Amino acid sequence: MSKLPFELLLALRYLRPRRSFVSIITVISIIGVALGVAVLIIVISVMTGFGHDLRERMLAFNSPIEIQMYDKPMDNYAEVMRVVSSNKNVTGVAPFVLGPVLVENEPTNGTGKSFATPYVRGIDVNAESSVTDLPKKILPGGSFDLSGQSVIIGSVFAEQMGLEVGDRLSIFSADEVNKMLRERGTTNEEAVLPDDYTVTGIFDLGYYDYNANFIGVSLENAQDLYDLNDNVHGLFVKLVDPDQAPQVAAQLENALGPAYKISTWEQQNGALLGAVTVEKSLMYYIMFFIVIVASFGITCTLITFVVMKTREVGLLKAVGASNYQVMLVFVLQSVVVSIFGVAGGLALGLFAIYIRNDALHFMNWLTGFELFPASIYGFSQLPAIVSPRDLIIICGGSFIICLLAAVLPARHASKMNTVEALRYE
Amino acid sequence: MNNSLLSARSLAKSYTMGKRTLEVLRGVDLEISRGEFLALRGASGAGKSTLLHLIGGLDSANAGEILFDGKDIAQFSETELAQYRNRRVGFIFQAYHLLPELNALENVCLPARVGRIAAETAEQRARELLEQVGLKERIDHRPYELSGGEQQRVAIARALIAGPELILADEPTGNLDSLTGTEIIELLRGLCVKRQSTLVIATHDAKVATSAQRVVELVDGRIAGA
Repeated sequence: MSKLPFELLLALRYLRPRRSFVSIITVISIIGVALGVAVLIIVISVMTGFGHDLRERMLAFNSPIEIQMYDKPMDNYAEVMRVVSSNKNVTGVAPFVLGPVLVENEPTNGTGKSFATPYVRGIDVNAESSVTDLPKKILPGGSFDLSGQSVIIGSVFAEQMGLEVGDRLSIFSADEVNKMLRERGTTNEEAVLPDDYTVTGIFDLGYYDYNANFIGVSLENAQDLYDLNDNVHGLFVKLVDPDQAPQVAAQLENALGPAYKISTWEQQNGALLGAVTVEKSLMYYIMFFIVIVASFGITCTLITFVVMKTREVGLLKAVGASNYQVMLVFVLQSVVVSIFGVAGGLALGLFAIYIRNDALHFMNWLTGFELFPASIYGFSQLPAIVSPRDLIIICGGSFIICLLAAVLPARHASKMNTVEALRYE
Repeated sequence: MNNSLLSARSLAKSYTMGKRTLEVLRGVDLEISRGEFLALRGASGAGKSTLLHLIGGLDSANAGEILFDGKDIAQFSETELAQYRNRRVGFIFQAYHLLPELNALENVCLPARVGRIAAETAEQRARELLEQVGLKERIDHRPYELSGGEQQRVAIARALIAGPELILADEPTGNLDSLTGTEIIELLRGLCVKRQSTLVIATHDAKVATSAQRVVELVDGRIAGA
């Protein structure tokens, strides 16, 4: 005889009865739990990946901390850079100019839009790589070259405007347009001619918004566009750990004084990051209901079992099994179903995550409809991160729910009257 | 040493079925001595099974008391009652009540495993008992692979495995033919004598009763002649 405790032995035997429909009910219960767990793992992993990639891509183009001056450009930025660099949490500082411009294209292939209004960013070529990943994101065929009248543009912007490397475009700065409007009708009236630039590189930051709405020129050219002389709009600050941004921002505030406006990337993107976090929490709640519904399957299976095994429950009690032991027989059945269900769901979920992009492309092809449009989500691939913490919560939570589902039928079995159970027909 | 194993006094038991109350036992007094073989005779519905259920701790009486080894079993806690059923009483049923998921050996081991006796010890005892009931060759068989007589032999071995002092058999030959029934009673009696166990058989079969040392007749919930 097996050395297993009799409760477990009976539970296992009950789960594989011969010539019985019960084994099919058991399999259905296991599939129910497995599907619930798998869906939870897929959804939560995609949500985690989405949040993580969003942060990564924001930090590829933005720095964790931005320093500006209230109401005016920064005139002493070299000095501010020196102060900021002395902070031990800071790994890089770079000046920037940032503002909207009017762009007119001159595509060689004769297609695309004529005008667009992206943001131009003035980039210090030497310092940029110390704060963002932009220099590494230039697509093959171009280069991170901002010398002379060069411009780099986002991949989506390039596509919309029909621009390629080597094409030319004209940039009107808002200040210049404004100046022209102000002087209109006066004796000083003069026409503002745009600056012509040559596209030297196209960048892909993996984030739709940035690829569609930003272009980059050298810091000097941007300073010209905005009449800043040697001033800049602000500084980008990169940190050892981006999550330390609030603490470092407070330290920099102390070091620089009240004239400086210091903002963290989380403050700037707070609404989006907050929405992603809230959405993940909501998904947890909603998706756990799938597991709860699946656990009802276990309850129904066990109720069927208990009714079918009434006489055997009577016998167990007649040979001296305590109420607790009888209860354990049925709870252990649920434990076995849960283990198989959760393990199956885990395997299925991880496999689905593994093939997610192929599956997505297949579904796009099958339905002829883009299920995860990049223009809405900003990602061309379905991101996913399987976090051990999420797996523990999902598997552990599902297991506990399934155990609770067994309590009612198991308790009913344990409370049966022995004699009535033995006489049950 | 007191020779009385069990003493039932003024036992009463009734069942309520809807608005009707059915009085099954109406004040039963019974003394059972150690090592005794007692036959409890009576017509169907006389209360034999109910009396065995009360004595065996499967059900509780409405009135009266049952003293087992001087202790009132009504005062037992739930755990003590489970232990009483497991270690001190062995039950044999008319319908055998073997678990279909377990083979003969496992069925016999069941009370021992419920009582947390080590698997090896339980198995060794079960093999010995199955040999004694003549089923040495059939230990791996499931109940549906055994005849009625064989199933009852397994049930007898199961009742004896925990070494109980009292064996209660409720119509053990009721589902068997006459010859097999006689064999089963003889087997049971022989095993109980060997183990010095007390045997109480409830039966409506006069032939079975003749094997017993003492016969007590139940009529309408009372001991006849009491």
